[in-house]
Amino acid sequence: MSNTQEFKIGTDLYSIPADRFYGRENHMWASFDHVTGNVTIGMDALGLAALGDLAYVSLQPAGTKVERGESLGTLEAAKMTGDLTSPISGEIVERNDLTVRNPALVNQETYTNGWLVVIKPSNWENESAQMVNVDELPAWVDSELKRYRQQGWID
Amino acid sequence: MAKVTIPADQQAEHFQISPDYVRISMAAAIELGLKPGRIERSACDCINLLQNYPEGCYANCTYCGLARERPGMPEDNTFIRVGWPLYSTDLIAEKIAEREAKKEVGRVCVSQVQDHRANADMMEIVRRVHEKAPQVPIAALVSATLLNEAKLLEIRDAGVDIIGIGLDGATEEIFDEARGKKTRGPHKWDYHWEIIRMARKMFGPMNVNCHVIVGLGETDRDLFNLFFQLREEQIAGYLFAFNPEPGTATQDLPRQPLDRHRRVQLVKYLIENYELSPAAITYNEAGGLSKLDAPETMLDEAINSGLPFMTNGCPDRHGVMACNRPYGSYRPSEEYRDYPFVPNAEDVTIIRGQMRLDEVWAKSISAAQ
Repeated sequence: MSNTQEFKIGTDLYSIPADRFYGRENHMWASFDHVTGNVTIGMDALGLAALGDLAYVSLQPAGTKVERGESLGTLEAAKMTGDLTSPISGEIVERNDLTVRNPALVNQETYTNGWLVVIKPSNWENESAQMVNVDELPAWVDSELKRYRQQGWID
Repeated sequence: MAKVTIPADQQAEHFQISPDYVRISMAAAIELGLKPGRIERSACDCINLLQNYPEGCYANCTYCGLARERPGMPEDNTFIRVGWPLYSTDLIAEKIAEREAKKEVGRVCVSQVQDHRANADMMEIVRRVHEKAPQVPIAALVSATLLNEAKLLEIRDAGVDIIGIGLDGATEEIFDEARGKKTRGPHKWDYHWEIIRMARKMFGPMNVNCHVIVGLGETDRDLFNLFFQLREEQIAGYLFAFNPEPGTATQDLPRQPLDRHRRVQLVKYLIENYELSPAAITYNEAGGLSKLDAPETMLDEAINSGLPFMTNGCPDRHGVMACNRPYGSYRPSEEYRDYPFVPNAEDVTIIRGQMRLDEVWAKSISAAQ
């Protein structure tokens, strides 16, 4: 299986790498670090494509405890606001102030320097099992593209 | 001396100038599929285009992101806070035609900046859009300082049906402070009015509009006097909410309280649609609205319609407002200043709370006494 799921919206090509987990509806990605045991969180390309170029990002500070589904902060594109909900429970141990200062980084370097927070997970095994994994990725991307198009969120 | 360089990713834009290239509002870019994203609770039915020159704009308006003396390179700056992406004019014309084939484009508006090339380039941009999409109505938001009667005629003959002119300041004094001689800018109040009236004669009643910004230091009396004058001369008045642009001379000037903005919107609507008389308005010593004497039925009908609180903008070919500029003067996470859609009943409840009309409505004041 390819290690990246690619899709097109209009003429633009987007990718969703298969090396991490994805929130089924909130389009947050979660990447587990086997050395530290922490999880880096960001937003995936489809979620961002539906929002547009980000203009403002605010993130909860380090030390904040979050439950799965609770707010990690807010995202605001030029003409749209977006939810930023945590795909897992735990404590925020780091936030990416670079993205707060330069929100475009989230659009431009979505899976690398455009990460949002690092969380020390409290229930990773159970919660990651509820996220989209590598085997489910192609079908999930197809169904989400269909859902987004039906909603009129993307072309 | 320090060497000034343009970042590599912006160097191309330095040479991509009008008429071959134009900037487009972010909402219009989203609408045409040039940029990803959505527009909260709304759509954008007017494709707003802005001329692009490496020098930006040679005027020096204190509140504008394109001002000549604003710090930084023109391409670093933003017009109305969100960047206006740059595309080739031909690509935009093709996208407008593509969109027109699926669903009518409400209107295109071509905005001039203060530059010696602006008039000729305006004609060429209008020509290229109409070549691809001949039925789309086009408005021109012009710099009055660049125009005379012959040039206005050329614009009309090129197929433009509506002229917009940024007066922005409600009085000569505010105009001079924000755009005119006190800013070392080229604009003159009297000449703006000369061009406005010339255009009014040439383009017909309500086909010329004056942009007026609420929050540049004017009083309510200044604004309402202007609205009465515009009604008299059958010139449309389009309100804009002042929103401080980072890096401009007015970046620290506060925005207007929302209650004031709502009352200004309401009184303007009553003047334009209910023939409200000047005698119905009482001012305090500072020129602020202190009493509004209007029948309850009139107020309820106007407020409940939601229409006074919508964006003022040019109509489409069927007379329906097309230029709604969604989130043009506030962030999508903030309270609406002007609604880019007809406010619903829930919105009207919020508007009533923001407006605090009882503080100035004659019937409430009498009842309280």
